Amino acid sequence: MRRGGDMFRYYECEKCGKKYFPRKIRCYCGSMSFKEVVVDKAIGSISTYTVILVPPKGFTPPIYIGIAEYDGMKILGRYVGDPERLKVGIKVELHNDDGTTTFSPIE
Amino acid sequence: MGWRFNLMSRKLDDVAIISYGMTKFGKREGKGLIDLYSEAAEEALQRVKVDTIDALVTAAMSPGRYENIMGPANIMAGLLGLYDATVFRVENTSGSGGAAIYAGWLMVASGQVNSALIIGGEKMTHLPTEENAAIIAGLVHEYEKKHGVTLPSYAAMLARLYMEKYSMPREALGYVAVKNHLHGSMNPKAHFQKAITLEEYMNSKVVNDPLKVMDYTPVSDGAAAILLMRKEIAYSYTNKPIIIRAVAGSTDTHIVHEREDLLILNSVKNSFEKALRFGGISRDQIGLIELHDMATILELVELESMGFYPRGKSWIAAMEFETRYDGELPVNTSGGLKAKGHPIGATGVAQAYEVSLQLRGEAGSRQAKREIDYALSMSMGGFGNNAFSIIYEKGW
Repeated sequence: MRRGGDMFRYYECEKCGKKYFPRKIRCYCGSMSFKEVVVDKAIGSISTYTVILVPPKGFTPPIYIGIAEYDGMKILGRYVGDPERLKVGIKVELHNDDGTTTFSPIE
Repeated sequence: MGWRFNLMSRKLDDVAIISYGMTKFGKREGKGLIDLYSEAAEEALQRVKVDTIDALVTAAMSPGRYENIMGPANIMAGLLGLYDATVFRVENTSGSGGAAIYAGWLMVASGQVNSALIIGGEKMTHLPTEENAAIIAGLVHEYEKKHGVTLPSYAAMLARLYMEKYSMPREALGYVAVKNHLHGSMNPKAHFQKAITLEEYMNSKVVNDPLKVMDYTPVSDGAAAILLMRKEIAYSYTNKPIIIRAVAGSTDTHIVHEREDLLILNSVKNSFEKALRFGGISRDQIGLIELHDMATILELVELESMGFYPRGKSWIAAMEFETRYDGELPVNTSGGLKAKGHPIGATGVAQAYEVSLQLRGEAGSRQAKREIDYALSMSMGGFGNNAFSIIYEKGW
C-alpha cells in the first residue's frame, strides 16, 4: 500500500481543543466549530497494532493496521513500512491527505 | 414496594421476567430467523401460559441483508396471534438484545402495557464467513472500514496494548477461552459443547496477531425470548419471577480511536454504574455476570471497566479460576459468546435467559456454586459503541 499523501490533516475543536480525523459535526464538548490544521511533517508513535491475516472481502492479507498517537490525538491507520520494524512505541510519520491514514517508519 | 424512582423521580413499576425460551445455538440448517424466533417464543409461551400479550419487541441486526426479511416484528406478531398490540423491532448491532429488553422493560415499567414479549435472534451461518464479515463491517465508521479494520482486529489491537501495558502472559487469554468452553460443554444449547485444553488453544491458528481462532466467537444461528410482566401480576403466573432491578444504556465514541483510554470501555462502565445507581445496589452484591466476550480479551477489559477487578489484574483472576462457574464470581456460565455462540440479535436476550436459569437454580451441571442474590448481564453493540447493563434479582 502507498502512503496516504504528503501531509497530515486534522480538525481541532475551537472550544476544548480535542483533535479529530475524520471530521465530525459536533464535538463531545458540544461545540460545533472546528478549525482545519494541516501539518507538513507529523511525527507520532505506534500505540498498538495488529496484523490482519483474515481481512474483509476486497483486502489482500496481511494488513498491518494500528493506532498511533500524535500530539495528544489518537488515529487509526495502515502501517506501510518494513513489517520487521513494526513494534509498539516506534516513531512513524503520519499522512492522510487522501482520506486514509498511513504510518511510515522514520529512518 | 411496588415501584422505584428513576433519575427523574418519576414512578416506575417493577418488572418481572416470568418466562424464557432459547433455541439451540449453532449451525441450524434449514431454519431461518422466523423459525428460530418461533422456536424460542414457543418455549417461553409453553412454559407459562398467558391470555394476552400487550407488546412484542424483536431484536435482530440485519435480517434484511441476511434473508431479505423486513418487519420481522410484524411477521412474529402475526404468527403469535397478537392483535391490537404494540409491536416493533429494535436494532443496536451486537447489542440489539439488550436494547430490546430496555424498550420492553420501559413499556411495562411506565405502565403503558402489562406484558411484553422480547425475542432476539439472527440467522447467519447460511452465508460464508467473508460475507458475514462484510455485513458486520457495516457497523464501523466509513473511515475505519476503508482501512480494513474489523471488530476482531480491534480486539487484537486491544490485546496487544493490554499485554504491553500489564505484562500479561499470552496464555492468560487461553484461560478465558478454556473456561468458557468448559461452560459451553455443560450447556446443551451452546454452539460448542466441547471443552478445550490450553494446548489446543495455544496451537490454534493466528487470525489477527496476537489473537487466534480460539479467542473469537463463532458465527451462529439462534434465538432467545423472555416474557416480561408487571411484578404485581407476575405472581399469578409463577412463584419464581426474576425481577429486573435496573436497566441502563450508555454510549462511547463510535470511532474507536477517539477514546482517551483504549483499555476502558466507557459504555460498559457507565451503563453498569448507572444501573447500580438506579437499582440502589453496590457492585459487590453482584454474584454472577453474563458479558460480551466477542473475543477473550473483551471479557477481561469489560470486567475491569465495570470495576470488578483492578485494571490490569482480571487475567490473574481468570488464571486462578475465580470466574469459573464454581468460583467466587462466575462469568459467562452459559459459555459466553465464545462457546455458546453469538447469533447477533439473540445474544442480549440469551444472557437474560441464562441469568433466569441461574437465579432459579435450573442451570444443571453449570449451576453456579455460590449463592446469587443479584446477577448482571451486559449487552454491547459494536466495539463498545453502545452498551446496556441489566441487573436482576430473585422475586421470591
